[in-house]
Amino acid sequence: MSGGQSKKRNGAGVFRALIKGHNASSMRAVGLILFGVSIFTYAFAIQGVKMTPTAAILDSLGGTIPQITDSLSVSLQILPVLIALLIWGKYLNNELCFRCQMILPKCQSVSTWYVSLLAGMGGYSAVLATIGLLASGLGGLIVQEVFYRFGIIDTTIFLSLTECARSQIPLESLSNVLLVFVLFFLRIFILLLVQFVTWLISGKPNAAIITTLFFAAISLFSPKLFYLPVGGTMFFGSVNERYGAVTGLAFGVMYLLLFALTGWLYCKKTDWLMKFNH
Amino acid sequence: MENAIELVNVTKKIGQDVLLSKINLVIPTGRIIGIVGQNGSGKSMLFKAISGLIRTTEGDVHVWGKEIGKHGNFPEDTGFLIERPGFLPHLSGLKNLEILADIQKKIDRTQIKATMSLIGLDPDLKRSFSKYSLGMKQKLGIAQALMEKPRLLVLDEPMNNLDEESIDRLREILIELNQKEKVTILLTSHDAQDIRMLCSTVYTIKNGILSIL
Repeated sequence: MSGGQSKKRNGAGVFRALIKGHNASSMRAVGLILFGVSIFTYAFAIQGVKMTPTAAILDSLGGTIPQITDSLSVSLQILPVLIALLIWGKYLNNELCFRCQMILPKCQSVSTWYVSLLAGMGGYSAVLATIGLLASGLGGLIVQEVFYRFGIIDTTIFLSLTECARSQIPLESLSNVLLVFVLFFLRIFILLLVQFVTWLISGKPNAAIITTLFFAAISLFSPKLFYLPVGGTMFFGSVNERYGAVTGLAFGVMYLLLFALTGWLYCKKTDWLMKFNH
Repeated sequence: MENAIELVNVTKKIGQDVLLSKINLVIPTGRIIGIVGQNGSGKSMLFKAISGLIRTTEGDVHVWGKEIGKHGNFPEDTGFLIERPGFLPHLSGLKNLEILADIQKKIDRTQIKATMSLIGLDPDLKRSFSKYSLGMKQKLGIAQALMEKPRLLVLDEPMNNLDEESIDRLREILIELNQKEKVTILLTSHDAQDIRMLCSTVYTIKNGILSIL
């Protein structure tokens, strides 16, 4: 009758079943808006940050950028996005909860569900982050270069790509290249931190998951959003990559611990989690 | 013969509210059991406890001899319809079921289509789920529960939003599954008349207290 029940669940299938297409049109709309905002923010370079798209690309690649003076303003920009995501996460929770009621029993175990979801989100985030790094950087670069050529932006503050390359922007050391890779992977752990915080605030694990997904989507349009906190600049107000590396690694350890903690809670404390959900 | 479901002193409290109160229930294999109760009486909460979606405050839930939460998070070989199924709105009914079937990979597209047809849905209908009528949405939820041919069906108000003809058809399907395939069925309704026709035993639940009708 059971048709040869398989003990092995399809992890990718679980992820697809939970997430695929969920509110896809809303995500696309928000994505487009964020993309536009991102391009123009980069193009006009927010005065507090004083970062051109050219600088952003080089910065993301591990070069040292002398012009970032106020990373706090970046963190302030993040705040309303976070609040919006939290609200959205709460709003979406009920729908997702109904979906989980179908999917969870088919997974047979919460750990299968959770690990599949995290693995899916990790892969998804990595792809989005890579695309985002290129899309927002290059998109902003084009706009900025055009504006620069036409003298629309202030040439005493902004540098063109060629001038950056010619003058003082080093992409030199192996440690910087390694740092880029470390930071790249740490971004994924940042997502987990967001998931954890959202869950704590909203009390809804499902809200945390969907919010994390949106956060991953946002990384597509604003890689700096993940880059700066990992580098420690948000907390130390410094752009020194060496400090960034140390603090980045420290945060990495913290995120790993959070990853383990959230995983443990999901898998072993289902009852406690479900209590919030119903 | 093995019991399909055994509940022993199942109590569920959230804060000061007692949602399920010392429920004892044994459902032998191959029976159709009904539970009636008004909205908010605890029907859905009871089903969530059976399905592993919530953990009980006290007491044990056994499905197919395995204690939920101890021998696994969720019951094996069981199809569920609880509350409103959360299908993806922009996909067709068939696509929605295919995505769900992809988790366990127990059935193929042909079997999914057969289940949809059985329940009275056109599997080739391209219309997205968001454009389904309430009755069609309900049927898709039932199809989701039935499609992997489970030994146990737990259906929370399956007749909701269905027209008379569809209700009759669903009754026939459930009886056939029970008689030919020996599927054990537990279902709820707020309409006692509705399930008396189907069930060998009917319980009533009020304020979280279960009693035989």
